[in-house]
Amino acid sequence: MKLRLAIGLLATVVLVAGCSGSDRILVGAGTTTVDSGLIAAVESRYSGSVSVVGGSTAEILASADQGSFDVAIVHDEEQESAFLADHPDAVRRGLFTSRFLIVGPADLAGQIAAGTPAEALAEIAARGWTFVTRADGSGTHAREMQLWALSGMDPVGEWYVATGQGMGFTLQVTDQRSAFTIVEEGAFLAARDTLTLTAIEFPDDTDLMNPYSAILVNESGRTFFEWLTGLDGRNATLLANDEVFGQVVYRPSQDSEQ
Amino acid sequence: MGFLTDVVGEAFRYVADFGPELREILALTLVVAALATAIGVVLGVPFGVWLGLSRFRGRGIVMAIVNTGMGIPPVLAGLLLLILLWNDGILGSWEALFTPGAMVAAQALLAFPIAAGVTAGAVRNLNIDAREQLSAFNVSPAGRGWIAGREVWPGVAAAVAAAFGRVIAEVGAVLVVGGNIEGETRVLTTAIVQEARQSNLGAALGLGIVLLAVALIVNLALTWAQMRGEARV
Repeated sequence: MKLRLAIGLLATVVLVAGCSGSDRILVGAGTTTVDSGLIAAVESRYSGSVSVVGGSTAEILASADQGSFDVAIVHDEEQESAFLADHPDAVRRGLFTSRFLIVGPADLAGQIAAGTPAEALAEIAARGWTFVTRADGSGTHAREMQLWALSGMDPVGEWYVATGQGMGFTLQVTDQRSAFTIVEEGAFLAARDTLTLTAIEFPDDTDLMNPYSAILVNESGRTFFEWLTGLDGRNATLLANDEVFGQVVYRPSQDSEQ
Repeated sequence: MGFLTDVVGEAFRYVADFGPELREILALTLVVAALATAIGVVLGVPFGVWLGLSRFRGRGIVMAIVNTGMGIPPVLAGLLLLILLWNDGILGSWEALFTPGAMVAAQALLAFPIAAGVTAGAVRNLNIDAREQLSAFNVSPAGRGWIAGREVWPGVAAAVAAAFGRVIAEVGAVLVVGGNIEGETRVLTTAIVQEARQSNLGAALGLGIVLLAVALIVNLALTWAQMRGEARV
C-alpha cells in the first residue's frame, strides 16, 4: 500500500513538473544581467514566453552542456570558445557590451596613477591594499584573473580576500573592508546607493570592455535567438537599458554576426 | 543608525504594500512547501512508526541514517536531484529541471527524514499500553495506523511542523533545482538571496519578515492543535 501511494505521489510530481516543463524556452544568463532586471525587461518585449535563470558563466555553460538551456547569455571568451569546441552545432553571436570598473575607497583610488587597469592592479598589490575577489567562475572573475596575468603580479596573500559570492555580497564586503574589487558597471550602478566606493578612471580602458555573447544551444530556442540578436532585440535592449538604468549600460552589438 | 532605520522602514513598506509580485512569491512558497511536507509526512510518518516499534538488527544504523538525513544540507539534496534531472541524468527525460515539481521533490527529500525521525522518537516515548496495542498480532495494518494516529498524534503534529519549518526556510535546494525564475520558481528564500545580491536590503528584509510570519502562523496552529490533542488524552 505504501508503495502504491509512493508511486501515485511521484506520478503527481512528474505531472506537475511536466505541465510547466515541456515547451518553454529556457534562457541561462549572467547573474548581473538577470538580477538587475535587464534580461526580464528585454524578454518582456518578445512575443513568446521565455524563462530566465541567472548564474555565473561557468554555471550556465555547465547546465547548457547538459542541454538544460536553449539559449545562454554569457561573458567569458575563453569559456565560450571551449563550449563551442565541444558543441559544433551551437551558434554564437555578439549580444551587447558593457564595461567593468575597478572600484575602491575614494581616498585610496585617487592615489592610483596607473594608465591601464592591469597597472592599477599591480599598484594595489604592491601597496598591499585589500582586494576582494569573487572567485566563483563568473565572467567578472575570469576577467579579473586575466588582468592579474597582465599585471605581472600574483594575487596571493593576506590582502587578497575571496568571497565565492555574487557581486552584491562581494561589493558589500569590499565596502566594509575599504578594499578594491572589479565589478560590472550595471551591478555597481544598482548597488551604488548603499556603497561608499568610487571607480578608478583610466585614459585607456580597452581591457575593461565586457562583451556578452548569446549562444544558441538547442534548436528549440532558435526563434528567440534570432529575435534577440536581430534588430528588434537590439531595440528592445536599448529600451530595457533605459527602463532599468536610465542610461545605456549594455550597448547592443552593432553587427551581431561573429 | 540612519541606514538601519531606512532599511527597516523600507522593509515594512514592502510588506505593507503586499504587491502582486510578493503575493505570487508567497503563494508559490506555500504550495511548494505544503506539497513537499505532505509527501514527506505521508511517507515519513508510517516509516517512523515502523522504525519506532520494530526491533531488528541494524535498527541503530537506520536510526543514525535517518538522523543524519534530518541534517542534510539542502544544497546537497538539490545537487543530488540536479544530477538526476540533468538531460544526461537518469531522470533527464522528465524535463523537470527548473520547475516547481523539481522544487517539491527536492524539499520532500528534506522533509522525509525529519518526519520519520521525529515520529520514530515520539513512538519510542509512548507508554507501554499503547505500544502493546500497536504490536499486537491481531491488529490489522489499518487498525494499527489508527491506534498510532491516536496515540502519536502530538508527535506527528510536531513532525509536520518541523518538516514544514525546514523546507520553507531552506534556500539551497530550491535555488539549485528551481533556478529562481521570476513568476515561475521564485520563492521567499530565493527572492531574499536575489534582493540581497542586488543590495536591495529593504526588500530582502521585508521578504524575511513575511517568511517568519508564515512560519509563526503554521507553528501556532500546530501547537494549538497539539495542546488540544494532549488535553483530550
